[in-house]
Amino acid sequence: MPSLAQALDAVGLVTIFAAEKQSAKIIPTQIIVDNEAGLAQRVITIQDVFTTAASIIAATGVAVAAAVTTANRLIITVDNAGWATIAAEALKELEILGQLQVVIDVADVGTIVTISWGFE
Amino acid sequence: MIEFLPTPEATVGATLPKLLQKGFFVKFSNEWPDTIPNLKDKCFRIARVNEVNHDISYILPSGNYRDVDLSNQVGGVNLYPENTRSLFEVALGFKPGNYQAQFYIPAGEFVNRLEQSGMVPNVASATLKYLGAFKPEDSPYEDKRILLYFVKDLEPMILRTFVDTGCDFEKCVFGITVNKCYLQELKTPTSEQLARAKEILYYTELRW
Repeated sequence: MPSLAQALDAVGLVTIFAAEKQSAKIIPTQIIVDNEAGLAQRVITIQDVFTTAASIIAATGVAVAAAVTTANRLIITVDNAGWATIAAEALKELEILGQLQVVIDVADVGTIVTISWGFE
Repeated sequence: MIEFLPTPEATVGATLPKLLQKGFFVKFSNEWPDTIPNLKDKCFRIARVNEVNHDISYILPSGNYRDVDLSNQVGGVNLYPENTRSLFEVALGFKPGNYQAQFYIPAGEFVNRLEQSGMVPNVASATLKYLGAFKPEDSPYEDKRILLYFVKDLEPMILRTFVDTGCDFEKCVFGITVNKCYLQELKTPTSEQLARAKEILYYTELRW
C-alpha cells in the first residue's frame, strides 16, 4: 500500500499525493498531520480532482460536457505545535475518484502530511 | 446474446467453467438474420480461445447517465469482433458504487422490460429507474455474472450507465473479460454435439 510524507510548502498551496488510477478509486487508510514545527494553526483540505465524462441529465435530457472538477473531501484544522491522526476506521467511507491532493491555507515548511492509501 | 448468471444456491460435485472453452460446441438459433452471414441455425466447435481483460471507467455526476456503445462504431468501446469466425463472449462486472446499468440493443430498444404498457426502463422516472437495471452487487468485478455474446456486424449494444442520487459524483468501473472464441463449423453435427452445444440466441428472442 503506498504511503507518502510531504511538507506543505508548495507555492501554489497544492501538494499532489497520488495521480488518478483509471480503474479504481483511491481509498486513504491513514492521514497524519504533523504541525509541531508549524508557524501557526493550519487548515488542511483533502481534495479530489477528476474529469467527469460527458453525460446527460436524466431528468431533463440536457447534455453535459466533460469537465474538470475539484471536490473537498475532508477539512482538518490542526493547532500550532499539534498533531492530527485519522486512522482507517474513521476514513473507511472516504473515497477519492481522481487525483488525491492536499491544500493548506498558508504554505508552511513546518507542516508535514503523511497519507497512506489503497485502491478499490 | 445476453445472459445473467444468478448466484448458485448450492454447488454439488465438479463445477463447469463459466466461460466457453476449447472443444465446446455452440449453435446459433434460426432467428439470427441473414444480414449476419454464416451463423443462422449453424453449429460450431470452438477451436481455440483467448481471454483478454479490459477495464473501462467513467466519472459521472449524480442523476446523470451515459450511453456506452459496446460496438466498434465510431465512439464505441470496440468490444465486437472483426473476424467472421470469431465469437466474443464478454463477461461484464462492476466495481462497487452508487450506479446501475441497463442494456439496449439496438439503441433505444430495451433488453429488459415487462409486459404491461409503459413498464420499461426510464432513468428519468423515480419509479422506473430501477426497472431492468443491473447494480454492482448483481455482477461483482471479481465474480462477473453478466455474459454478452458478440459477433461481427451485430447491431450495437448500448450500456446505459446511470449514477443514482445520494452522492455528488460516482466512478463507474466496468471489468471486462473478452473470451475470444475461434469458431470451426460443424457441417453435420451429431445429435450428441447438438445436445451439448450452448445455444446463442438472437436479441429479438429476448423480447416477446
